[in-house]
Amino acid sequence: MQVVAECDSLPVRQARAGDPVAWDALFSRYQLPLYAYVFELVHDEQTSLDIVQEAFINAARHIARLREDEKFGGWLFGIAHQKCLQWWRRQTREQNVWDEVHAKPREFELGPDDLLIREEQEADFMAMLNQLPPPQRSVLLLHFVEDFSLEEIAGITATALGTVKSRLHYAKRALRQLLEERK
Amino acid sequence: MKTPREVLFGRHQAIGPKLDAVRRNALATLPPQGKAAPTRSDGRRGVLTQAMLQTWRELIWPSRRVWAAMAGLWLLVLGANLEMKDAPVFAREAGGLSPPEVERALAEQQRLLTELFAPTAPPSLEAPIPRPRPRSERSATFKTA
Repeated sequence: MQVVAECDSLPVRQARAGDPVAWDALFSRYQLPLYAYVFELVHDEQTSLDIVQEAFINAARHIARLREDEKFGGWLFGIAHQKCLQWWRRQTREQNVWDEVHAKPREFELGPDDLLIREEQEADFMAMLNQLPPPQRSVLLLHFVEDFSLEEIAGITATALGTVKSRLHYAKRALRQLLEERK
Repeated sequence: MKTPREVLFGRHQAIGPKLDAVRRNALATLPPQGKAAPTRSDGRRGVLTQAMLQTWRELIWPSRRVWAAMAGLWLLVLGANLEMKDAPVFAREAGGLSPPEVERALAEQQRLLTELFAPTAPPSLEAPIPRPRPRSERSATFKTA
């Protein structure tokens, strides 16, 4: 997998030792994917930038808690995800935005790059993505942006593996349906 | 044709400079290399600074608007409190009791209190009513007799 291959060369070990160059490389690697993920959940530029910065600072401060270096990406996204949840709860004053009926989990067929979008479909794709409930959107974004495995997504979002499968399945099915309708 | 990842990243390419600033800010908060563990001499000060920084980052900064509102509210309460504290001074100066009158009133109050708590009758000189001794002591007396 592409991300795993990249993680092998990420200077997490040097970052643990406090090397600023290593941290700069890590932050540079993840700043855009992390921002894209956070922005598509909160839809506010300043909030997204704040969350990304807080995620970076927390990662630097708590790097000792990361057990396996190769899981740095998922761990960082997990920090940002928790920040997004806190923001959502402050906005909505309730938690049930992230709750949903757990449907029967099913395997999904397509990889993140198997779904191809024509230029004229981009706006529709983004509009449809924003129509998805936040839990499905979150799972789909993690799948698209970093190609995280189901287990990694379950870890990032702190949800059961079956729930992640279900969310991803329904999100992708809805997305595919929309794109086929617009063909 | 683009992948969803390319579409998503394409939408956010313009944010690059702001993200660079965010990255620089985050890097500025890193402890200097090799100074992660504070020495014993500067340990206490370092720990205190670290705790204050952590409190600022985790407690104050995320809810800065709420804290600012609370501070404003407390300032209002303090202002109102000071305003009310000043009021009796003005009243006394305006036409309250003069110091000799206050002294007389206090002396009168003292006299009344003395009268109130002074003993009204001499204490009784009668012998106290004898109470039965505990049963254990009585049996002991019986045995010795």
